[in-house]
Amino acid sequence: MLEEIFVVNRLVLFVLTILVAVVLLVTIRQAKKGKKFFIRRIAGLEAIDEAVGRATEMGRPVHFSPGIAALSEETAAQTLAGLAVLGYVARLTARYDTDLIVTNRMPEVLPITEEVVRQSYLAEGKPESYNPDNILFLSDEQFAYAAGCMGIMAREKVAANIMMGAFWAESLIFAEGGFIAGSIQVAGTANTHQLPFFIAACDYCLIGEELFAAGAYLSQEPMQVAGIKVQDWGKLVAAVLILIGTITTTCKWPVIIDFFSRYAS
Amino acid sequence: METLGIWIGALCTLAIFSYLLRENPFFRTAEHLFIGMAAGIGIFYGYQSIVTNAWNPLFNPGDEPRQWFMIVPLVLGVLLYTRFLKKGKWISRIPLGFMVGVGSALAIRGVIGASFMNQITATMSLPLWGVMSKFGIDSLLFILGVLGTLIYFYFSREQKGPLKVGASIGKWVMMIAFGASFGNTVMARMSLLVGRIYYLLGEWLAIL
Repeated sequence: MLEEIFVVNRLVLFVLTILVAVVLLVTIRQAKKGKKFFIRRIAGLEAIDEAVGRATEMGRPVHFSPGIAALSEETAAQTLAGLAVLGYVARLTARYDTDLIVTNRMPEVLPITEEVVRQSYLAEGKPESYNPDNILFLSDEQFAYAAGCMGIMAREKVAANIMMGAFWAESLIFAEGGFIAGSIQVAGTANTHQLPFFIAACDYCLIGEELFAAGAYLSQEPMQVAGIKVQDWGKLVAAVLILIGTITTTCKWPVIIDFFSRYAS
Repeated sequence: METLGIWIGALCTLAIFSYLLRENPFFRTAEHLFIGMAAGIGIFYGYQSIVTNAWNPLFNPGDEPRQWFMIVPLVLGVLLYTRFLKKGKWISRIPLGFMVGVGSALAIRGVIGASFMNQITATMSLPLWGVMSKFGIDSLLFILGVLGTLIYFYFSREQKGPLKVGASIGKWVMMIAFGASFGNTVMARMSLLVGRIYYLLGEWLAIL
């Protein structure tokens, strides 16, 4: 009967998706009513203040890249998380009257970065300091964009290079370009295959999910903080399931594994 | 014509390599050529994509049935250009919202399925000890690694006491994994460099 209605091997995913959505909505509601959720300090993020401060002292610009992912891909979440960090960086540069150069690869991300930066300058009470010419679309070709970023970093002698979003093979090119320009570098991505390069070549690095938590941590916006809280509950559930599963597997009692193999593949 | 292509390729390669010394006019020329050509190719493929995927199925379907719903992406695409209108700028947010919505929906399916559930089922099917014959504790290390990494990314509590120990385990496991990944990718990049040197010395200078 169940097989006629559902694709049964995805039943657990279906239930989990509905459950996560409901819990998220309830938590957001609580957060909007004023309930405070705690997010621990994320070390790499505090380096952003240091990086912008250094650029201000040196009188040189800050470069920000929101990654190279499109908004219609699975990795769009990373771009959106990067844009949340961009909002914070733009507020700092507006506050300290430091130039901010934002380079984009995806055309559809350009209007969003423009809006994020403009809103941040407005929020700091300095709309006249916002320079739309510093929000650049370079190329939608991956390595043309990388070459353009390297050139800008070298010519403008950026003092801080902040890269937050989804990066692929150009990650090390960016990081080396920033290093040659003598900038302090803060990077973050959830693309695990590129994290080693950022960790090796940058001064500070946000690893994986820290990027998603970054937006919530910086803004303390109830909806984002509630999202992090729900993700943490998800991790707790995962840890408990793994513990139960491994113990039952060790005891050669395969009921739970069989259930998940059948309904969560 | 082929010789000209090889010469242009080789000179552009050298111009890009010259960045290793410092930013210079040769690199700048190659950079601008690269970006300009990418823009040209992008326009060509963009145009082709619209004609093939939306315009022809809608207006020139030939023997195929006319796909009326293609009007939706075409209209959404045109609406993106309203950002250049002073008063109608807000309209461009509609197609942008559509794209963000599609991206988020795709991400949810991918994250819950591939990143969450598959990881859990793969780890919970390991017994606590004795998978590989030589190292009886290898699966225990895997399980500790996964749990430690989960603890590292737990943001709702300060990393103190047992959580700090768990997070440290997670950090070490990740760094070992990143080290292995770094080594692999460096090897792949080396093979790209070898390929490029072979192009310069073989196809261009013909000394190989």
